[in-house]
Amino acid sequence: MSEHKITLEQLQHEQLVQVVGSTPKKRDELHVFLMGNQPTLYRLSRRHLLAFGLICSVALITLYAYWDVMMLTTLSARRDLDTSNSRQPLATRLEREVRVLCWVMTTPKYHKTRAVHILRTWGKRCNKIYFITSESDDELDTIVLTKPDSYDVLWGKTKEAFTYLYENKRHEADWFMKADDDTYVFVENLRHMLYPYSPDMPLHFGYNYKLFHNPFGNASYMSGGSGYVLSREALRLFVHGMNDSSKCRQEDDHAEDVEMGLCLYNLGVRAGDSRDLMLRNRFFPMAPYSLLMSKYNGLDFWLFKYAYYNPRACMNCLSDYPVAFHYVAPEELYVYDFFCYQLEMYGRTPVQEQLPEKILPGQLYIPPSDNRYYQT
Amino acid sequence: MLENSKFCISFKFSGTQRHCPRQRPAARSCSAICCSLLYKLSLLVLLCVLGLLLLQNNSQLKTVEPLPTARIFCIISTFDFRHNSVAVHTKRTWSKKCDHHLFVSNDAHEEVEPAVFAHINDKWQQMRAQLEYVYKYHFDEGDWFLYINDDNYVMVENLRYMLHTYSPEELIYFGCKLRSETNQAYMYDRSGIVLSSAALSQFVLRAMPNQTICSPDPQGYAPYEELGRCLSNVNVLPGDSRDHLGYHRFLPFHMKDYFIGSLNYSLPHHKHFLDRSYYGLIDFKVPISKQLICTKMEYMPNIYNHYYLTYQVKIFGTPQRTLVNEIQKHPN
Repeated sequence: MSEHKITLEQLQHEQLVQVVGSTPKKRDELHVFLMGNQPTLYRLSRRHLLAFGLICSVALITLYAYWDVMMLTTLSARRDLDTSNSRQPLATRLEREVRVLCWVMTTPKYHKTRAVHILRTWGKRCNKIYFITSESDDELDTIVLTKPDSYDVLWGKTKEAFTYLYENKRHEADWFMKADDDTYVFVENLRHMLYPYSPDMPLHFGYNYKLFHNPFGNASYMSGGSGYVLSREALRLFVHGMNDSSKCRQEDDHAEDVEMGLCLYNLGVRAGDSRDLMLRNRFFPMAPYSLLMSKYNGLDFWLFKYAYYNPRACMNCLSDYPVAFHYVAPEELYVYDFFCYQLEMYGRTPVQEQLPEKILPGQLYIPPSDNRYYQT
Repeated sequence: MLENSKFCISFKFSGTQRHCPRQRPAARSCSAICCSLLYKLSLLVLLCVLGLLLLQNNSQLKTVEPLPTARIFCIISTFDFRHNSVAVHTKRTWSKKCDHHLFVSNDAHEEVEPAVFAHINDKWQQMRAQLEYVYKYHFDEGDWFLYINDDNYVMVENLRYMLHTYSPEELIYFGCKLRSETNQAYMYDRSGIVLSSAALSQFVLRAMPNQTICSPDPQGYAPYEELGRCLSNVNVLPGDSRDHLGYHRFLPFHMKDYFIGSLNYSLPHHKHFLDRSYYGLIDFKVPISKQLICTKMEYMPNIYNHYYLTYQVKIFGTPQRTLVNEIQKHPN
């Protein structure tokens, strides 16, 4: 038996040769056989699981971020096309911030032929609208005055109307606009014009005419036809000071707009410049074509004599955001409304609009008269 | 060497107990192949995500080509006594919006620059001569031909919108459709007609030379009825120019006649329209489309008002009302 006794070293050497010389698979089998355990070639430890989890979570986060960005971009693209729905339009915000009370001087004869159409077109867009007449009406919000309806007492009626509004309605609005029953007012553009100014400044706006009566020159009154708008402070000063005979005419006759301009000038209310940034007119006391056709009116036309600022006529002489026009027949009120609020045009490019900067009281600059057609 | 080798071999049956470094027991659920597969799968997923991102970004950069828009050639008919009072205002306002325009008249004028057809006294014979001239000299300048009077106001973009769903190869023409006593459909002369280029070529090449299809005799006050008859003889369809709600886009009167109350039957031109309108009207009321194309001016300076209100005036804070064409609305 001793001849067959293999030494330990020999046995080990034999097995080692077997193991080293064999293929890895065979080594595994041998290992299994020898060890009696399963081999652990790749140690799937916690580290591996962690790495796998990390890769999966990175992939998930990337997918979610991508989806989120896609949703945001599509939403904003749709918003550009559909600006009226998702955010509130600027006009609604201005309606809350710049409150305008419109009042229209009319007479019972024209209640159903003119005043009703004003209410149905632009009147409903003012924050409040009142019709100053001598009789009440079932469809209109009327303020009935004591004075009769006649051109002779127009100045008296104006004074009484403003007094009534100051005593009863002054908390309803910041700005008070007077219009005729043949005026068309673009109310959103009026608010856009008034936004930079504070209603506590003593100011009034309209189409500026030269006030020749005034001995100090450079004073202006506003055309009554195309309407004028007073600030809250201007209304207060007017109502408190209009019974002062040295400043305002106490009788009820004479041209209402001239007397108004003179009275306001004497009471310290400044006549603002209602033109836009390119110095184009926003108020105009006639139809637009009068200022768009250069030779429609000859040079002896009265407008060229009385206008405060340069009354040049050309195709680009009216503002992109007009406020008021005069001598508009009742049917034409609907024509203006149709073109501005109902007509849909193909191929219009959307315009980004921004609110203008607010003007601080000390910064207010009103340019002097520069009508070169007639020098007085 | 043995200790350093990868494979720790301990010999069960050896005398000496060599202890291999204790190894952790393997996870029973994952085999080697499964783990490698899992790694490969996760890498594949990551690659797919990245690939998707890249592909998506690339597709966003591609822009949709704009559709070719229909070119509109405006033929504006005027007369010498109206040159200074009417035609110049049309020339200065909306005629610029046509792709090309041509005034046709019976005398020359330095600003209006019309094509002159002198010594033709009948309106029908003038129309024949004018349309033949346009076919000869200007046929390649337009896909649709608008024959209109000098005192109409036309919003050309809305006309383009109405026509973008039709092809200029179709035999069709549009306008304010009336029906004559002989049940012949024709377009009202106060509001203009729009001919497709195929219709114009059929009229000039087939209808005009043939005396039975299209009469060359003077027609007096009914040239448009004869035009309707000629066009129907060469299979040109009188199209429906109303919008999707049935509201009218071509108005033979000024729109202010429509807003308060209804049309007045006692006025002769209202009566003519009310008697002969192809489409029924309720209570003499004509509903006006928001995509209005054509209206007739009564006082010419108002055309500057309309032009100013259409193209320049904006209402602050309210988005401008636009029409979007059908293809842009539904790109798929």
